[in-house]
Parts: sequence; C-alpha cells; structure tokens
Amino acid sequence: MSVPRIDRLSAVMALPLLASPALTAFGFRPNRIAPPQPRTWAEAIGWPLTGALLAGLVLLAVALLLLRRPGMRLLLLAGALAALVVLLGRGAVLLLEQAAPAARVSPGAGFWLAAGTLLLLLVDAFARMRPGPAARAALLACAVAGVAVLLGSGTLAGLSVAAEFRVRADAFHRATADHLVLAFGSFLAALVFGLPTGLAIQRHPGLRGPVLNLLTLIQTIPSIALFGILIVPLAWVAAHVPGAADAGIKGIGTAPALIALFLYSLLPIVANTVAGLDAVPRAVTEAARGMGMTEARRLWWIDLPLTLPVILAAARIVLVQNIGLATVGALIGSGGYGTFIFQGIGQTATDLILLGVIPTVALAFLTSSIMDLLIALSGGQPQ
Amino acid sequence: MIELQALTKTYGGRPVVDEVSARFARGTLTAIVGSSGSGKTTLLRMINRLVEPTSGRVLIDGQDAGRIPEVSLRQGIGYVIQGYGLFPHWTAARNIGVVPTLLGWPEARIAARVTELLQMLQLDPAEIAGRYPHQLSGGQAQRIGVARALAARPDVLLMDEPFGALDPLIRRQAQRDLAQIRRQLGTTIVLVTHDMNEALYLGDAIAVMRHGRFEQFDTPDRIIRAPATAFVADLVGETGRALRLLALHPVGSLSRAGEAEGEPVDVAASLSDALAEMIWTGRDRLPVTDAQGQRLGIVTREDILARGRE
Repeated sequence: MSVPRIDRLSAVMALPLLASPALTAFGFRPNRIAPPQPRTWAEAIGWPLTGALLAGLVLLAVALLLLRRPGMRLLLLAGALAALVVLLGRGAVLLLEQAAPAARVSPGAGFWLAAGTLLLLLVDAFARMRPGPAARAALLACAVAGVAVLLGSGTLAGLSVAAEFRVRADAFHRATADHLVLAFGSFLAALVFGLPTGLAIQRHPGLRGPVLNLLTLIQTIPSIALFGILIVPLAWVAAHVPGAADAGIKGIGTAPALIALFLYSLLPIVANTVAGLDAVPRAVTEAARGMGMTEARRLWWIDLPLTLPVILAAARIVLVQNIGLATVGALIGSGGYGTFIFQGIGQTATDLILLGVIPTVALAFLTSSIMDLLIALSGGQPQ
Repeated sequence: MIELQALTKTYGGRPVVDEVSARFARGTLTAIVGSSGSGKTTLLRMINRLVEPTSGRVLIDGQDAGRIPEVSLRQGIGYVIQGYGLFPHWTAARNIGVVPTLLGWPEARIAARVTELLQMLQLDPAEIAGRYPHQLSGGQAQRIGVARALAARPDVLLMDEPFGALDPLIRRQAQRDLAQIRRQLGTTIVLVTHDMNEALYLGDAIAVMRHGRFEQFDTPDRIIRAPATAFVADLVGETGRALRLLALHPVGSLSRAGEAEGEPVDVAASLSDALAEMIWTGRDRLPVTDAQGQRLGIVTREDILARGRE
C-alpha cells in the first residue's frame, strides 16, 4: 500500500494552526488603557462563521500535508492569511457594535499564533520556489499592494491601533516624514562622506588604523548617550554661531539626532568600502593602470562597480540600523515614530506604542528587502 | 625600437635594476630571462612607467618615454600580465575593446576590431565575445588578455610571464600561437619569463638577468653555444645543448635538392623535430614541403648532425 509522502514542516506547523482557535482571539477593553478581557472567535463572530473558520483550518492543514508544489502552497497560504485578517476585522467591528464608544478591540494570542504560523509557511513555500530577483521583486510588490489594499479598504478599521491612528493621522504623517528624513538623510550624508573617506584610507594605508578605530569607538557609544553628548556642543553652536539657530540647529531636536545617526552610519560604510576596494584583485588594478586608465577612470569603471555589492551590503545594514535608532531620537525631540512609542509608554497605552512600532518594523523590513534585491541585482549575495 | 640607457631603479638604496643599457630592435621579440628577484619585471614596468626609473632613460623610437604623459604612453603600449587581470564585470568583447574605448574610437570600429582579434586568436566571436571572464577557460582567458593588449595596434607589446598560469599542454599551444601571430604583426615585443626553454623558443634575442643586470644579451644561438657566465650556462643546461641548437633552426635552412620517400616534413619545422622524425621512422632523409604541401626538396641526417656539431 502506498502512503502519500507527508510534508514534514506542515506536519509540525499543523499543530499550532489547529490549536490557535482554542486561544483568545481578541482582547477587549472598555477603554484604551484598561486591561484586556479575552474574547473567543465564537463570542466575536458567532458560531456559523467560527465553524467555517475551524473547517477552513482543518482543510488547510490537510491540504498542506499533501500538497507539495510550492507555487500552489504559496497561493493557498496567501488566501488563508487574507481570509484570517478579514475575519479579524469583522470580529472587531462586531465586538464594538455591542460596546460603549470608548471600547477598544485588539488581536489576541490565538490570532497571532495562526497568522504567525501561516506567515512562516508562506515564507517557506516561497523559499522552496528558489526565486530569482524578479520573483522576489514581484512577491514584495504583491505584499506591499496587499497591505495597502487591506489598510485602504477599512477592513481593519475596528482595531484599536486604527483607532489610535484616526485621532493622530496628522501627527502620524509628520512622524513618517521626520522618520524618513532622520533615517535616510543621515544615511545619504554618511554615504557622501564615507565613500571618499573609505577610498582615501584604502589608498593611504597609514590612515586606515586611526580612522577605523575612531569610527569603531563612536559605534560603541550607546545611542542615548551620544544624543546627550551632542546636546552641549550644538546648544553652544546655536547660541554663538550667527545663523545656526535660524538653520534649525539646536541642542535638541533634529540636528543632534541626524548627527548621531550619521556618525553611527560611518563605520559600516567606510569599513565596507575599504574591504570592497581591498578585494579588487591586484592583477585587475595592474591591468587597468597598464592599459592607460586615469585614476578617475579606474575608479568609475573598475573599482566602484566591483565594490558596489559590498557597499550596498553596508547601505542595507546602515538603513535598517538607522530606522531602528531613529525611534530613540524622539527622546530629544527629533520626531519620528519614536514619539508614539514614548508617549504610549508614558500613558501605558499599548495601542499607541504599537502605532509607533508597527510602521518602524514595516519600514525596516521593506528597506531591507529592497536592499537585498539591489544587492542580488548588482551581483552580490543577499544576507 | 626600444632603447634602455643606464636604466636604474633603487628601492631603499638597494638597486633592483642596475644601470641596464640595451637596444631591442623594431619588430623583434626580446625575452628577458631570470629568476624571481632578478629585477626583470621591474625593468619591464619601467618601459610603460608603471615603475618610474630612479635614473636613466627609456627611448621608444627615439622618444624619451619619461616625457610622454603616462596615460597616453600606456595606451600606446600593449600589456599582458600573469593572471591576465581581465576586468571581471565586463564581457570578453568589452575587455578587448578597453584601450580603443579610452582612445575614443567609434563603436562600430571597436566592434570590428574585436571580431578581427578574436578570429586571429582562433576564438569564435559569436561564442566568446559575450562571455564574462569567469565563463572562460584558462587558455581562452589568456588569449583574451593578448587580444586586449593588441587591440589598439600598439607598436610595442610588453608581456610579463604571459603563459605562467597555464598548464603545460595549453602553454605549449599558446607559445606556438604567439610565435605565429607575431610574424603577422611586426610589433616589438618584450617578454619576461623564468623559463629558458620558452625564451629560446620565442626569442629573437635573449637577455639573461641577474641581480638587476644583464649577464648576457645575445641571440638564442649564442646563448646556447657560448654562455657568457656560469649562471647562463647553468640556465641553459649542460646536457642536450646540440639538440637545443637544432631546435632553433628551421628545416628550410638545410633544405637541398633531391628525392626522398615517405611522410614529408614542413619547411618551418625545427631541425630537432626532423631528426626526431628520422629516428622514429628509421629514415635518413625526409622530403621537405611548404605550408601548401608543395615539394621543396629534402633534408638529410648528415646535414643535421653536421649542423649540431658546429
């Protein structure tokens, strides 16, 4: 008798998937800072829909056990994830209908378990397709479009984070702009300054030790301390240099945060530029000189293209690092998503914290994915 | 013509190349032989000024190389190095076309030149032109390196151990190819090698270099027949000298009228090859033909042996 071969990962993952409905699906709070009360799927969406959910989960588990083609699995899992999120939104709306206006609903452990499991399986299915850069770009575009549709359609409008967003839409957009300026502005400045520095210390080996040691030293200063250190000199500059204060330079605010992030960005960019240039084979450099290329030609035609993947790898590290660190800047008034996080901590309002955390993580993930794509396209290895 | 005038390079007071003076005639191949540290590569790199001489001059066709701007000097000199140094992110065609591109040739002319060079080096342009260096075999990469050096029709070609990275079988073929194409080119070639056999096979003139000086600068024939120092004699080797001499001369030099039986020998083949053929097939005379198969005469064992005793 032949037994169909069972997919091992699915066999393991079926367990949390099937167990998830037994856990709390929603957290219900009478107001935004009250402790959450558990609500099951049945309490939120009623028995008919819960039955459909349970049947769906069982069918999905069986299908995953037997279905081996990654493309099919990918479609199935994407569909299941979308359905789960729609049910979440529906449940939130139904729970709020029976409650006072101040009440809040957020996803519970049961939802997170199911969604997390589906996401893991999805990533696994995609990895099994051994996707090229084009396929990865397509998936990324689909994921971004999917999230955009989900947010735009109002499906999730019932959730507490959406409620926090509605009251702070303007502040959120300002925070987004601030966060992008902090993370990408400091990165661009570090690129403009770091590439020539890397080039210079690669060509003049005597500079290498001192410069890299200094940058490593900066890297070891905790971010909050570095912000603090910068307050004093910048406040002095603002007070004594004519025009500095008008240009927005102050002891607190955007200027010290930008400078701190810029300083943190330098080490990866300079170190990788040096390593990338070091890795250009001697024979190639020798041939380029022997063919009669000028220094500038050699840089543009040979050194930079060959170093590009390593520099992009540094850019990826720096951007993800900056997007995270920029949240800390909120402590010294630089704006950004960190504002919501620290306000939320102050008010013990979890939803407000999430309003800062979720876009930060999403931005970091998106940036990292795009950089991976660029690295792959430039001929390097994604990390 | 390349003329070296008391050419010297010192590093930290120690001379690496020590007042070398010599002339390399137009259209000839000069092989510079020496062990590592003899200064042969430094000498070569002073010709295209990758190394600036401490003192002395290099004249190329009477012009002081030190007064020509570095970049245009190098664009006018072909350069082949060990390991080839092909640009890994460029196709073979783009690698070959680099100097013409630097010189601002129109694209169509570059493309035509690339195709011409690939054909001359017996590479199929349709197959090879679009390949990247990592997709080439060692022998193909070596030929692309040579094609790149020849692309802008330089009057001077510098080769630094150009066959050093090839395995012996392919190396022999590459040496044969170079011997053949250089007759079509008329380029003045300076080739650095540590292999005396390679120098004897390819060189019109050989400079044996040691401690930054030329121990002997002479024809291959004289190097074998009359080594100037013990070091040169050592490099050439005591044994088999007669056979080495015979290897330097073509069958054509001893061809005479007459009739002979059996497989003919090519007029351009060496006397040592002809002798080997005689030993192998038990004949004492071989018919001589030219490249088209036209019967030219015969070569006899007595003549070859007499030449070897000279």
